[in-house]
Amino acid sequence: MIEFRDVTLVYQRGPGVFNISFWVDAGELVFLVGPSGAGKSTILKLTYMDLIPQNGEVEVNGFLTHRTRRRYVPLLRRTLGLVFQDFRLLSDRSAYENVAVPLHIIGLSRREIRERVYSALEDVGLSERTHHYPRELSGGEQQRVAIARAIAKNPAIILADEPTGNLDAGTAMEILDLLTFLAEENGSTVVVATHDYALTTRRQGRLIEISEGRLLN
Amino acid sequence: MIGKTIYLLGEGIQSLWRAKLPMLGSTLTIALTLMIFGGASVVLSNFDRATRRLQTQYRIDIFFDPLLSNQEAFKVYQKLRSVEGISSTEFINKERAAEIFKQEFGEDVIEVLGTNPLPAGGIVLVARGYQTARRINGIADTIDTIPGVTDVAYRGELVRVIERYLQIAVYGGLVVGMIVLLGSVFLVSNTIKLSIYAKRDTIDILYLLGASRKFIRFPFLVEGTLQGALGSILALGVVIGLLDIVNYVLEQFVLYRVIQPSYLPGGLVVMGIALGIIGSSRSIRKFLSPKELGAR
Repeated sequence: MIEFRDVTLVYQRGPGVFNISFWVDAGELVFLVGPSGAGKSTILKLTYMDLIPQNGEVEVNGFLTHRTRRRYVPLLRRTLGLVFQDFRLLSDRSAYENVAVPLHIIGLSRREIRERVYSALEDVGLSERTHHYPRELSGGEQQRVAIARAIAKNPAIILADEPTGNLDAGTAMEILDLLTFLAEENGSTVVVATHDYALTTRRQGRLIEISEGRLLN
Repeated sequence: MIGKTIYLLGEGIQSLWRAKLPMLGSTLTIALTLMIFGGASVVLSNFDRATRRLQTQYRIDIFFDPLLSNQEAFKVYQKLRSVEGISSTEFINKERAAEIFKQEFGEDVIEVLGTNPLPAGGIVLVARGYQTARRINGIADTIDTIPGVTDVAYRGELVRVIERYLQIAVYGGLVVGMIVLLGSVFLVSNTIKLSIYAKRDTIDILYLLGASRKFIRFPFLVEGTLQGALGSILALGVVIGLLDIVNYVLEQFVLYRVIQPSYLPGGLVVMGIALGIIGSSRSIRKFLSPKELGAR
């Protein structure tokens, strides 16, 4: 499903990731753990093709990223659900509209979009706040909207980059519980990058540790 | 596909409302540009009308041999009609020539001399397609070769002056028009670029969510089209309003009325929409470049 083969990417201004090799099977839950600046986000960016490796190969859902042409990048991304630390919601659109965007992108019918959006917002516990704008929601609620947006299209893979980074400890636990529960329910592969080891304890799932751009295990 | 298109159309319309201030800026810039074009086209078309009216005054005066009687002169006159490039002719017999002389100089030539020495003649108006200095010269030369014609007179210098000014106006208008057009495309692009800059986060997020470049671009083009249409309606209102005011003032003093060219409404709307689309597509291109959207 996801495979990194001896991947190296060095940034112009400093380190990146070096000789990274790992794979994630379909339906697996993986925590990518390491301190800030370790290279977790770089690995995720390499996965959703925001970056291309200088050496080695990344294969995601059958796409060999270094061979995929620019115009096919959206096709890969449509198979992914992305969740970010800063939520990346469209500020001038309601929760409903935010969740609906990726469904419009993949070209679902209006009726199907409506059903999926309401169902996703219900799954994340926001069925009462469908028409609220991001500025009217708390950080935890905004992240729930982002998760609803990620799961609404039933993606094969969910990538979450520090999804709890901007949230207090209690909300962070709730969000991670929700993310892992929904992923399990949908049978999606989930990769969560986090610097918070505490969040990963007492959870099922594989731990991949990274430090200074290199895998530790 | 239809659902997606309707969604994107809706997005384009809604984004006008979502970003009212930048939309207002772009629309006003387009309107201002079109007002300049609208005003210039009104001035040019009225100038063109005035010069054409002057051109209809192109006439050639012909004088026949003074020894020819009215009857003989009329025979010569009939030959004028076969000359190419003539729209109408008028025969002036000796008596009419004396009347004209009296009107112009205040003297009755028959009374003074006891006889009428004035020759019969003709007046020829030049057809529309022949109203250039070169062609009028050609017509005059042809007439001059007809036996019985002794003199041909026309206002060659006036024709040349009219032509020269018309040429300057047309070429000058074209050059100034091109400069203003390029400037306005640049100005409109930059104004729209500012409004798109405010939405670069939206563009990034859409691209991350799997939107193609076409999907991202389409609403911006719809927005540009609407801004262009709104700007042109605004400009049209101002230009027509100003025309009415100018005509109202003119009516108080002279009989002249400034006309509105028939192509003005359609021309301004088409130009406004074109400016909006070109401006949007030029601006959005920058934000959809690989540099802006990451490595891929």
